[in-house]
Amino acid sequence: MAVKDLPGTSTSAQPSRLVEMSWDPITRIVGSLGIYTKIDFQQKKVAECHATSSIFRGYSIFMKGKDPRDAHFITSRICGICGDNHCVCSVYAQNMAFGVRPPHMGEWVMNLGEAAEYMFDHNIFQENLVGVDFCEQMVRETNPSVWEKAKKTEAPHAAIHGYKTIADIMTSLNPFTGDFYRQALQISRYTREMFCLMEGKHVHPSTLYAGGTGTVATVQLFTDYYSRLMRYVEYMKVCVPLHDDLFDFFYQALPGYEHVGERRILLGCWGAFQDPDHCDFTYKNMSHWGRKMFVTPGIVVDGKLVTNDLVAINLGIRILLGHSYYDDWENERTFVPTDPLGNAVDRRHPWNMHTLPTPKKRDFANQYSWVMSPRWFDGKDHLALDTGGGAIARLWSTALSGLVDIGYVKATGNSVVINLPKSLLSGPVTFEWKCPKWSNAIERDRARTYFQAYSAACALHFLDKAFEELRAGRTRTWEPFTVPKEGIGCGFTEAVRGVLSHHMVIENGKIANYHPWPPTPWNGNPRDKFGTPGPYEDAVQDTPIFEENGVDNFKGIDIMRAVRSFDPCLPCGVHMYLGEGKTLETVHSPLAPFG
Amino acid sequence: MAGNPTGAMGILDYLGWDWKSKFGIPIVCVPGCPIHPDNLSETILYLLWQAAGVAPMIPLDDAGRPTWLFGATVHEGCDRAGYYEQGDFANEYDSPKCLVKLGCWGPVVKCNVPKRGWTGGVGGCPNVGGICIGCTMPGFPDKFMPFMDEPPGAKISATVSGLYGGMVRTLRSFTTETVDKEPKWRHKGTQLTTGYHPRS
Repeated sequence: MAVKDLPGTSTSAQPSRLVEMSWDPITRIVGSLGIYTKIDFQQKKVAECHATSSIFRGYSIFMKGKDPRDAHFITSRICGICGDNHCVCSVYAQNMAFGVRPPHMGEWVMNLGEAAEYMFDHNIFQENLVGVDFCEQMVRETNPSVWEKAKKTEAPHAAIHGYKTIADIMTSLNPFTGDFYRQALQISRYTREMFCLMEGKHVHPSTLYAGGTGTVATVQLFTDYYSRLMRYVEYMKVCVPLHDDLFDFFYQALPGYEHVGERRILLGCWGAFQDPDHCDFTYKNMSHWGRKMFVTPGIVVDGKLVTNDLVAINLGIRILLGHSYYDDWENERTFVPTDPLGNAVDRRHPWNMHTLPTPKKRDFANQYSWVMSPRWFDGKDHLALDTGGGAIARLWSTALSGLVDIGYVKATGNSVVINLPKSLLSGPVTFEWKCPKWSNAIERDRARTYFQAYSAACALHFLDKAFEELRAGRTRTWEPFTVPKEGIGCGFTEAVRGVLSHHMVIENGKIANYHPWPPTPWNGNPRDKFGTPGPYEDAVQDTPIFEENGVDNFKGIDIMRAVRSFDPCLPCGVHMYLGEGKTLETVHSPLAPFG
Repeated sequence: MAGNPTGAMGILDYLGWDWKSKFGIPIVCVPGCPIHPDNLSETILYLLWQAAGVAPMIPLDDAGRPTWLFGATVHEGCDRAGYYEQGDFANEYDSPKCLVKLGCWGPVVKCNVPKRGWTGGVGGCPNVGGICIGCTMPGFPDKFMPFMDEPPGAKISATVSGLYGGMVRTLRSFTTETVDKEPKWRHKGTQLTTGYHPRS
């Protein structure tokens, strides 16, 4: 973290003291994300924020000319955390372009793999990375008075999770020593085994192809998954109330905490988990099978559902430049003037965009990031949607649509009910995630825990369906296909952190254009050409500061909680930051409180 | 990959394949895309033992790979190799048989994943239905693309294996038929025909 005082600056009638503080790269996330802020210590809030990404690899450039069947193997390598989400998304795009529909069993296998991914990834991020921001060591360092309160506050659900006070919960989250932290590491292991059963290896699946999977569906395969899943179900019955207690405490102990990381409710969710009874991967039926996904796609603005139609969602995507290191493509060719239904496709849509990099020095007034600015055009405005780290947008969209109803999970129109069955140590348990009042740090984090339970519940349904197919002798998981000379495809799914789309154009049997749009560019983009800040930027801006430390030993914990609630994931990189001629070497350390 | 705008390369491409540190230690390469988690932690542990003076210099092959991890091929460790030997090849990706005709490069790729599984022994690549795309090899990915096409050499070897294997399978089926039946003396009744004769 770097600090610089800015003399003589003030943004209101009151004299304020603006201090420039930056975190680049941020720890306990994936990749090269830099957050540059100006903090007003007098008014105790963040006056300005810029988010930057300092890495570029060029997938959209080198995919050109390659065999379309290789697309998911290659694009999986975009990310070492959620690469399997990319793989699945690419397979969806290929299925559409090649005109192939996998056997039902193939879809259930893929759904089970992806469910395991959410269960594994959210768990490790929440307990071993986010949790550190709420642990005893951190809270003692940044808000000693809150720690004192925590020691005296009984945890409402102590009888379920066994931690008597909120302080006890915080201690259990201490890195490396806390027992909840350590338990989470074990859970990481067996949830990853569940994933590997279905997709072969993590993070770059070996068994997924266009047309389905190479996974052999047997009694053993599903029993091995089932026995691990039930352990996770048991764990979620404790995990959900523990996090509710912790997060609710923060609202009580620090009134106004609802404004930390708060931004306007502008959420995007592209849907997850196909229903093979309905999904034929054709563009012309996409509105229909999109609504049948077990996580309903949707755009939520100010708490209301704007659409759950994947075709409408697709057509509204716009990629804006402004502060990114790229040239515009206004004069380049348009690959796809109309979609298969005859709708006009904009120049700024992923099917038609061109990636033309122009590397240069960072300049906040000009170009300062390798991330472009995706927006969703609602007919009037270019909305800077965010995913809130994934879980909150998925639950909110699914809740409002009120379509999902599989017994284990039911969307009610303003909430999602999750029914976990009897397990070894406890009877059936029901949780209900209700649409919150704010899109803020605490609610993003809370939603993550609930979505872990949602994924487990969906997985139980997928197992029921898989066993049905197995017992009926329908064990095929792959359908043959041929690659057309010309074609287009699009895949929509949810990476762990949120919306993920892959758009592909095939010409002469090879890839002519390929643009993946993962969630973090939606969240971490710089100001666009209209001057609209990206979601990290405006969520951090105006965030009130509750930390009790002064400028000299400021950790920026409230800012960090705000940023990490988005589960940022940029491609991995280590960055050397040069400030004012002094070389600072940043060393990655999980014990961020101490440096 | 061909066409990449950054000119990205591996560390040994950059420093030189003979590079050694001040202490004469070469660069240790643990390839894999992604790296196999246990391969990496095991190698780090080995280096800690070496640094502590209880293990000798880590044994590496000419590409800087630990020999105990990368000395054998995928094929040598794959539990579907028996199908290959019997000339029994998959024509579709979800078949439990050998995937060499569908794009698997296992016979020429140095990697231990099919042998050790991916996490806790679960998962892997061709052993669980995923064609090997050569992700541990310096030639990855370009020399293995398009991944789903039969590797050039496979046509010949698979044909030969098909001939030999088909014959062997037939011969084995005779033996299997025999050993699939119990010995004649396992039957009900009062007569003991096991060959036991009590001393009178």
